Amino acid sequence: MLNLSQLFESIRQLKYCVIKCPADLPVYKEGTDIDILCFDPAQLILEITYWFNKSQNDRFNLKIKTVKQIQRQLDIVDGGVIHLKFDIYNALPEYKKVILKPAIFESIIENSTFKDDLIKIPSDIDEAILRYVEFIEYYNTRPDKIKHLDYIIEHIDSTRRKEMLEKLHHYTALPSYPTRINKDTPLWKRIFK
Amino acid sequence: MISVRGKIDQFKEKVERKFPLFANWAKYRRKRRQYRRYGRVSIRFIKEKEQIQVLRLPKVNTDLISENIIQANLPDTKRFDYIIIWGHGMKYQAQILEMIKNHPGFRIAKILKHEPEGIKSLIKEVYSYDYAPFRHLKGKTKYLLATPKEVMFIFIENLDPQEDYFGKGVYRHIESTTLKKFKGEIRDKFAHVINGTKSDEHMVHASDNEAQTHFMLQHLGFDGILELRDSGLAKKINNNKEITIRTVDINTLYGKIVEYRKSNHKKKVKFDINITQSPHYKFLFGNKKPYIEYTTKLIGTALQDGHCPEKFDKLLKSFNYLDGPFRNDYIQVKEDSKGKYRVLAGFHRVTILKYQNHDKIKVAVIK
Repeated sequence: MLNLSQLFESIRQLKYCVIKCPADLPVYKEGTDIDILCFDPAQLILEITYWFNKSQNDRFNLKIKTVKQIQRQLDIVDGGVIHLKFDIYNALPEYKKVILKPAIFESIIENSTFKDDLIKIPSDIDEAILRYVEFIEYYNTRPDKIKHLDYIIEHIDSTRRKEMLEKLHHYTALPSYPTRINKDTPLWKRIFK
Repeated sequence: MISVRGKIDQFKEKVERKFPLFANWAKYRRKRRQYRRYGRVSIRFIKEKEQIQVLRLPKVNTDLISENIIQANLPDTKRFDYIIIWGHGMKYQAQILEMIKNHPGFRIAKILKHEPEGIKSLIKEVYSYDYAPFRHLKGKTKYLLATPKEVMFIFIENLDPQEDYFGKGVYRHIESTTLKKFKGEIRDKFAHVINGTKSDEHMVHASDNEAQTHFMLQHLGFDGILELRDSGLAKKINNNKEITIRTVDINTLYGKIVEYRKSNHKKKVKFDINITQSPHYKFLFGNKKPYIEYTTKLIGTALQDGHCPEKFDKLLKSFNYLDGPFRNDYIQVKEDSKGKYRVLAGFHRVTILKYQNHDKIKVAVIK
């Protein structure tokens, strides 16, 4: 197992936060996925690369690839099997069912707090917002996402829930759907209306 | 009788005096910097003109605190500039390069030999970002039209720019004192002497600010200043390349060497070369001639990173792969169909590692 404490100690000064942080981190199981939001992905990747180089022998390979413009993946691979995975985002992904204002990304990072004085994680309100949005986006296709709702019910009491909803409403908007096209209207009228 | 052209020029000058954009711009930038609490003031400026009051000093002040504040408020300690050697100065390129290499405030970042399509368009490009309008410089740059169509760009990291204000009125601007002084030295040293007086036909020109360097790099087909600022792995990450950090056998690495055909010096030939056969490796064992020939022949064309024997010697002495200042400077390779790796960047480092008897090394495989 790799020593993640050293990594988080070395990136203490960087602007980042680990979202949906596994409870046991820095201890992890094989195949764990760590999602990180940060302002400067290149800098963070270089830090992870340096830590990787320092902390392991020749057993692992490190793969760095760009999945989307906002997402980069770092896979630590052990003989073809993913040992540990970092997903690094420099903006929040676009959701279809909710529109998130881009400023929420900065707000989450700026308001992050330390877990065990080692790992930067979002404040409980921000964590709940992220989980809630994730639940809304996928509740009809991914039944397992109900775990996010359970998390909110378990960890956020009713007064804090109100705060959470206030912040959520401030940073979100509902998408506008195109009006239904009346096919009886002639095409020229639809164009020059 | 003033010509129509002259009248237009007069009118343009009047407009410039009425709306002095450049002067206002510099004043605005200075105010912004003071507002943001970092005065872009050089130590020389502070000491000579006692202008420390522009910096906010604490109530309890000692010499040490004062010095620290001056240091903290100094401008970015380095910036990128360029020096261009015009065609008629190319015969002195080796001496000029030597002067730059020996200057403690400069580090060569890129050397580029350039053959412009027309010298007129290049002159216009170089001077179009100057503080004075190009039409004012036309007379001053007329002699350049007759110079050979080959120039050399030397992009440098100016480690101690000592920025200060120069010029008067609408043409007041910030410039690096270090570079200005150095430019003067070169001009003085290599100027033609005609009838006992030094000619005004300057062989070199240098940038006034980093923006000029940025636009010149863009003109030459690069991404601008990022080309010099981002280096190594960071550049590849920012360009969204797929990278794998892997340990490989050093003997599976090979390089690509460029040579010019003897019959036609313009025709480039690239061929693969093993580490042990390369001029770099021979240099490490004391056979320096092939490497010196290789670098002198290809400087500014295939070799743009300012490699030279002295730099290679220095690298050998201070080299510590993936540690200290080189902590993320991975050797970049590309895997070929035979399972071997062609070195894209870091061939000098590969040869040093081979020289130091390393069998396996970590490399960044770029897809």
